[in-house]
Amino acid sequence: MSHALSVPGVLPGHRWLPSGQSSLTGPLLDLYRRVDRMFVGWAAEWGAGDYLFPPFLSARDLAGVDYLRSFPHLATFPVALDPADENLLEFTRGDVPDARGRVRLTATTPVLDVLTPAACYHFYVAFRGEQLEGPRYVTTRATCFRRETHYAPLARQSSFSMREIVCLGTADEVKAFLEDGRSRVARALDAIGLGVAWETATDPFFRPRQNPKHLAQRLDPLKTEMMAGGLAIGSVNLHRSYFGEAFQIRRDGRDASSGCIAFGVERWLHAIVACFGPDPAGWPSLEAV
Amino acid sequence: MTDRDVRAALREWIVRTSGRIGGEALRDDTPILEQRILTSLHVLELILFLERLTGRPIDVQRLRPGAFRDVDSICRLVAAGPAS
Repeated sequence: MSHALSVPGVLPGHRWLPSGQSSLTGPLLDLYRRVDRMFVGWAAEWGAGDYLFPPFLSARDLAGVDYLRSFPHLATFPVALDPADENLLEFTRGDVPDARGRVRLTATTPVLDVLTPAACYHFYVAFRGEQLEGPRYVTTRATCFRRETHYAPLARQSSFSMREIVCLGTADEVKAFLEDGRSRVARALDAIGLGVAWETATDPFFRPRQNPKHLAQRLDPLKTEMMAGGLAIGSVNLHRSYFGEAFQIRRDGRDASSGCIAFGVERWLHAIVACFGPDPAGWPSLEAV
Repeated sequence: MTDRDVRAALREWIVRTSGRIGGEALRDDTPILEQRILTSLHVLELILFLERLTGRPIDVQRLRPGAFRDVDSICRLVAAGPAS
């Protein structure tokens, strides 16, 4: 199945931007909200606290998990001009933007942040140094940013919405959460009538053959994706104690384990439209699934 | 080199490299990646160690999930020879 909805704008309420982003309104925005409400409903079954995070993550915070070395090809950075008056003046004297739409920057301030690449990083930063008294279940939806070699409407975007449900706890608590989570999602997919295949996957590391983390993920698979027509619309991820160790989060006398269930909201829209057609009248009810 | 020699050398290497587990606590079925006794950063070192130990190359592309699960799994891999 193609990952590209062939004609941008053919969907009611969808507008595709050359920057690899979608704008939504009307029935498609309504579907977006219903899909996310469904995820929030599942998160509530674990009593997960809901969080809203800003779009920046500190590069220093991500250094603890070596994000920028593992995924430099995906990273996007917020950048600002050095505020010195002369620098700003020099900037305004140029073509901004030039005839090809490019902005030629003069001196910039130091880049200290990364635009959120995955929603759950915010939790480990927020809970740094905590001793957990019991398993902690949390959820958030974040706009995530990733540079890719190509983009396709709703399927592969430079910015997209990721909803995650995360558990931090002992290894057994996280294992139980991920097993329950996968069953919960599978039950809902059955009720909706959306067929998926569950497939083991690895993260998209930079130069994977040279990266020991990629090899380690192959030897000890930690990621299972829900594939709808060849498109991963979500994943179930076990981190073991990787984040607990990096952010000194402790549970029961050890580094906390963690795991997350992640959903690409726009990809769910893509899968629903691909499966049920572009007419909103044919889209499934997502209530009580 | 016998299986017993490989097993002893491997256990000694894991304990020394990890720094997170004592020799008495490391059993042959202790899951070393799952419990992060060795982390992803140790995996390439482990492959190099096994190649030096056995004098045979390991084809990384042919390694399967679970190949480095524990001492038992690694010894099975070594015993299976270069095709593993």
